[in-house]
Amino acid sequence: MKMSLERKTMLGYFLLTLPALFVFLMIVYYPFINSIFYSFTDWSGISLHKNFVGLENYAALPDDKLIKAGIWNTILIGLYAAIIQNVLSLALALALDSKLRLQGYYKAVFYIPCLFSILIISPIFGNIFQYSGLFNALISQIGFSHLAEDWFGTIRTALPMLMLTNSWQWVGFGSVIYLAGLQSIPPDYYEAGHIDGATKLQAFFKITFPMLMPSVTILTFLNLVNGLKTFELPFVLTNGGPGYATETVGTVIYELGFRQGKMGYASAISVVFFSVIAVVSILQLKLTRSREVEL
Amino acid sequence: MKKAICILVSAFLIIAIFIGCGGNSVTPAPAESPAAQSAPAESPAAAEPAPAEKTTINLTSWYRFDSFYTSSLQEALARELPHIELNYEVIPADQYNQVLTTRVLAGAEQAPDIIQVDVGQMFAQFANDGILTDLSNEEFISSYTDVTKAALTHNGKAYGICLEGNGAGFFYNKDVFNAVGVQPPSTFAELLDVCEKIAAAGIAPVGFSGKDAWTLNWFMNPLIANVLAANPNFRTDRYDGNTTFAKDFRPAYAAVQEIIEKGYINRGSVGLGFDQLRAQMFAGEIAMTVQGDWIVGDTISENHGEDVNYGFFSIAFDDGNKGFIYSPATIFTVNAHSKNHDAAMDFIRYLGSYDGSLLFAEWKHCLPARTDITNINLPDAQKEYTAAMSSGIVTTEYIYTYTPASFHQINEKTLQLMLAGEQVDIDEALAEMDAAYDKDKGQLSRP
Repeated sequence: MKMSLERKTMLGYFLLTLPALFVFLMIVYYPFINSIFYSFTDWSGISLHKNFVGLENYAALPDDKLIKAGIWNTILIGLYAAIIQNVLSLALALALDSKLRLQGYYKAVFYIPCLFSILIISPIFGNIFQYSGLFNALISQIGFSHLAEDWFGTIRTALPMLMLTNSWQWVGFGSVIYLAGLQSIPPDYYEAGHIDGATKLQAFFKITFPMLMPSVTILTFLNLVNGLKTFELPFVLTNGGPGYATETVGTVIYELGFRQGKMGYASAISVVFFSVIAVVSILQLKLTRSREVEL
Repeated sequence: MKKAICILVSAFLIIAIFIGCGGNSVTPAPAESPAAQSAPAESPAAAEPAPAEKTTINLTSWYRFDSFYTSSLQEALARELPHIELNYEVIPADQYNQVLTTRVLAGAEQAPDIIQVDVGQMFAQFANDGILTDLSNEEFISSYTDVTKAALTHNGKAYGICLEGNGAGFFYNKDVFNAVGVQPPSTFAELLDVCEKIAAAGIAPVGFSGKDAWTLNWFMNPLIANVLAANPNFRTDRYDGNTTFAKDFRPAYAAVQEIIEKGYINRGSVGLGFDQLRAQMFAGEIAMTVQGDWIVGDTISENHGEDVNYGFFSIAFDDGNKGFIYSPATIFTVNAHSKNHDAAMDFIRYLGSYDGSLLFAEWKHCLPARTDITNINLPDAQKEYTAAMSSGIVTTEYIYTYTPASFHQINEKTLQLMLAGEQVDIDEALAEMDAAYDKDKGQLSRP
């Protein structure tokens, strides 16, 4: 039986994708499927032996104080990133969209932080905001020495500081995405609105925001997922402390899997967490996509 | 207005980057990376005809092995083992076990030729899984005390060399004590008096470094040693369920809580790293801390051998018992699956020999594990520690070795919460540690 040219071409394309597909399967799906398997075992992460424990790991999750703290903080970080950080990015984009001299320079300055590694940012912020750091020295100079804190070492300030550090890094990135969206809105729409007597606020809510919905969708998705996956920042900066104040699901998985030798248990959390992120992401995408406007 | 805000914000960002990169004045400059320093340096052997072929062996350590290498080991290796090239990698202590575990899991032959491993669970696991070479018949084994031999032994076979014994307790800056006019205390009540006087002089009496959480476990070790002095069978009793941490460990935690609640600690202690604590104590901003004796050697090294005027003291609680820890540490083992096994064995034989062990102890300013090394010039604090041990009961076990990691995590969190000014119910925290111990007891073997 002769194969049609189209089929041959398709087969050729498929064969060409095979190496990449193989690598992708090996580094993404194989570990993922493996972790589902490990979640039903008591594997320590070191031992060559593992025992099947059924649903024991999953049953223990709701009573674990460490996990509860990690989930609560992760939800707060996720919501902050998806809502407040998003609004900050939009505000910055609107500021940058005005007729500024050196606009390109400002865009670069605000974008640069997202190019830095967390490993660089963390000690910088750690030094600035520790008790004997620059920030406290500055506020002491202007008469507010009573407000000096160990900002990452105090229960009530550690998590908000972590969120602010994250914003410092990512708000600029978000603003560049929004800026691209803003600059793609045809000026005719604003002219039409102006002729119809729309105020600036009305123009924003009736023209700018609906036209920006594709950017809102993607940034909300990115911020939410990155917020929920937060790991490096608390791991390097606070190690989940003080106490449980900055534990996230990511740091909890690491603590249980690698420090406490409970890789099976940590895998169970990973599987549950993956499912939660997947569901939340799908819901969020559905919600925001439904509000997108086609040009 | 918008322009002004943009200019201000961007100026702040740029300044923050530059100032942040400058670091804090008390932070020691980071050491050059091991990779950078492992570049072939000019060695004395270079002038002589080079051996036909050099074998490169890999070593991982949580010590700044690079500074050991460049200070004295390089020369010794060129002289004693010219056929060996050492490629070392320093992994930070808090990530060491995880990184090593990952490599071993990837295949024992991928793991380093020489592996530093801590006594306890991981050592036993590696020995059990056949990853370590049996060194029972080597010369150095007979040079150790029975306690050290026991730490190196698993199922009747010895698997490593031991280079030092660790002590832990109150180490203090003598200059600060002299300036304030106080003497080292010997009871907890006297300690509180001393702290009050030091605090009145505007100096932080007791230093904590909560950012490096492992130091908090070490803070507790000497205090718990007092408890173990009162009940030397505690570890087996606890394993068999005949006692609890809540019952026996309370005085140690209550003492720490009292020190913290009275404000006798350094400000910002939760966000402080151990390197910063060392720098502040050396500068006289902190009078004392409770830690392993490495604080003395590390401080000497960081200050290029400058005179570090530190001393040691121990305190007793109400029952009058004094406990001390002297624990075998710094175990180096040979990977049984090493492709360079012979060369690795040559290296470990040299490092475990009298000359190699002396070289290490002199570099690290530590208590040597070999009993035949007696003519070493130790810092005052270590001499005082060695002398003090005869006044109390010495235990060889610190909490890492007889409790699961979940216990350490709760201990760290409890102390961090105390340091952060939270009201901590000690009984509740100890009950949590008991529950964690009972749940994860399967990870331990009976003491």
